[in-house]
Amino acid sequence: MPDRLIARLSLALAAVSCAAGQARAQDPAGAEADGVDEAELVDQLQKLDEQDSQLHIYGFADFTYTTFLMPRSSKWFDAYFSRYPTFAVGNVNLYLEKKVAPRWNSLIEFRLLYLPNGTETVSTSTGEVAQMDTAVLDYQDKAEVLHWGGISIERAWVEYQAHPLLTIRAGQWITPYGIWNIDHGSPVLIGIRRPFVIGLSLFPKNQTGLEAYGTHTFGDKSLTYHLTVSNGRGPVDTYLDLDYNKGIGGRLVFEAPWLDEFRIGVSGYTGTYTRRARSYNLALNAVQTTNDVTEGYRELSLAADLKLRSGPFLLNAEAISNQRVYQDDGRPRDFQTVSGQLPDSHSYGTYVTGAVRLPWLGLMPYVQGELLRTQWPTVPNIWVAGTGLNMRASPSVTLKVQLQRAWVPDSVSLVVPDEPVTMLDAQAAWVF
Amino acid sequence: MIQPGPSSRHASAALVLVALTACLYDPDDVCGPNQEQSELNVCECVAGAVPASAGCAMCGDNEVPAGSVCACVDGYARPADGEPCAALPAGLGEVCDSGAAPCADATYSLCRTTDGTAGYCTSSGCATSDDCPAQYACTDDGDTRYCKRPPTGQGLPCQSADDCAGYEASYCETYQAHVCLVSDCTVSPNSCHEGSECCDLSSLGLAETLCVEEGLCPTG
Repeated sequence: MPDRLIARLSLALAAVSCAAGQARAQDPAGAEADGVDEAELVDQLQKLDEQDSQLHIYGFADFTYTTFLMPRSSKWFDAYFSRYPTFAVGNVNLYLEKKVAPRWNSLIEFRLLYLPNGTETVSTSTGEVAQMDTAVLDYQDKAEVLHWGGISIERAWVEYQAHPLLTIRAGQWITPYGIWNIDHGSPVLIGIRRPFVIGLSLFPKNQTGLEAYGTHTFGDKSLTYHLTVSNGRGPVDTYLDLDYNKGIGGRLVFEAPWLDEFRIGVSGYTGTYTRRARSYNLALNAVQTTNDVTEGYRELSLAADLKLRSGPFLLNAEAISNQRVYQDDGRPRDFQTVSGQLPDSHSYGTYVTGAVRLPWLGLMPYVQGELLRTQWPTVPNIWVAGTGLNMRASPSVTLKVQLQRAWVPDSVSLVVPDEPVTMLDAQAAWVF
Repeated sequence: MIQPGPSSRHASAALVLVALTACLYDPDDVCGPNQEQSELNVCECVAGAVPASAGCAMCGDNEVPAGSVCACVDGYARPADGEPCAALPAGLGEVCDSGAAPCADATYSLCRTTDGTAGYCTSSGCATSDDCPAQYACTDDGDTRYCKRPPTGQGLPCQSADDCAGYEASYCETYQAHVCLVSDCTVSPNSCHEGSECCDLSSLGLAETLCVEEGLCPTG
């Protein structure tokens, strides 16, 4: 494979694993640079600089087959899951990256969506489920119906490297916590399904604001910090803060060459979520405006993560918690129980993934276990156990198959069946 | 392969421990004012309270929760909306018999029968409900305009139909508010007492029509 292509693929993989800015600062040619003369090295670096000033477009995508291995009469199919085995294109993510000026980098990531087509909404008064249909006639060919989709902006930031110890990033960025949220591209993930403790968003997945980070190395060890200030969480937090409280967060990562790789991190976030409802009324010949809080809570999220690698063995583990305390006038109704309001909650959970890289065909069998104490009053606990096989078919293509079984013990919900869920997924994920 | 030293391991463990034990959540105080956690793990009003803009609010003297509002106990009524419950005027609502025990009070001299010759004392000749004592509604029965009392038992707390038996509000609403309500009403014309509307719950799969406070019918 040509060096340029290898460099390009390593660049894409690095960006998919959310390290784009830092990875490019390290020589993408890596060990390939060893053993060349100085003139050739200078020439290579000049080419890389030229490459750096260009706009880089790359991305990743995945295609998944999912089937639930429960009896067709399972009550899970009535309310939650499709009983029919399904193919789906899950992620189509595009990256636009450019070194916009010396010390200035920019990265924008889009996810292209088939949504909102097929999105379901449940009427709280009638219980009817309405499915959104985005079908429209194509104006270029009136005989053809097309379904329009959407675009989700995953991140859009510019950063300035003021010092090796200080880079300031501004815009929308992925919250620096844990392993899974940062390495969120499906080609670099070991498993297929996000652990519930990640999917429940105990930390905000991304935020809009400022992030400062830097790394201090001492010997063969390093300590990386992240400090963040943002709009915090809210219904439109990407562009509008509905309260005066900014979300504050931070992360510390310690890396050492113990075993073959040792990385431990702790993360924290605190902020205030506010949802408001505004209305206009005419009273006393004047327009009266109300702007009431319909949901408001303070939250504190904490996490720890550990990544170990020793020879072919790999261990990823995360423990995450979220404490949520509602304002008295911002406690929302609980829609599952109809009456009552949501209590303050302390949700926490963990997952552990153990894998071994076999010397054949890029195979990596793995096992994963999850425990989660949820914020949902009616579904307090979720346990998941699973196993799978990850195969790196090429540097840019990963094939996976995964079997998982989930239990929901202690549920008091009338619509959550007292039986486990078994699901089988197969996925192809690739970078381009 | 390099092994971590004990001091590094201890520092890492301490860092994780500190990070995971910071607190905002108080397990002994997870609901709002005058709320408690129910068996379904949601926050419900404590006995004697009704939902308010911030948690729940305790009902006042001579008041009982009736759905989302506090209602006056029997023998009491609000002189006007928002005012505390006050004892009804003497003679109003007293039990009477149109044959054997007529009403003695000069103002509330009409014995309005509800079961044979048995009934309650009220006034007649009203033009609008403003002429009637609180919660009584001026009604035309064809011959006489009189002040009709609100349904007996309405808004009383209940756990089963037995708790509402014998009242005009004989239906125990056990889904949400757990109060006695009048059932089998008609939507058009509205057969419920003034200030209430007849709510048809058939669209929710419940073959019931119930009198609820105006504006609170979930099927709208």
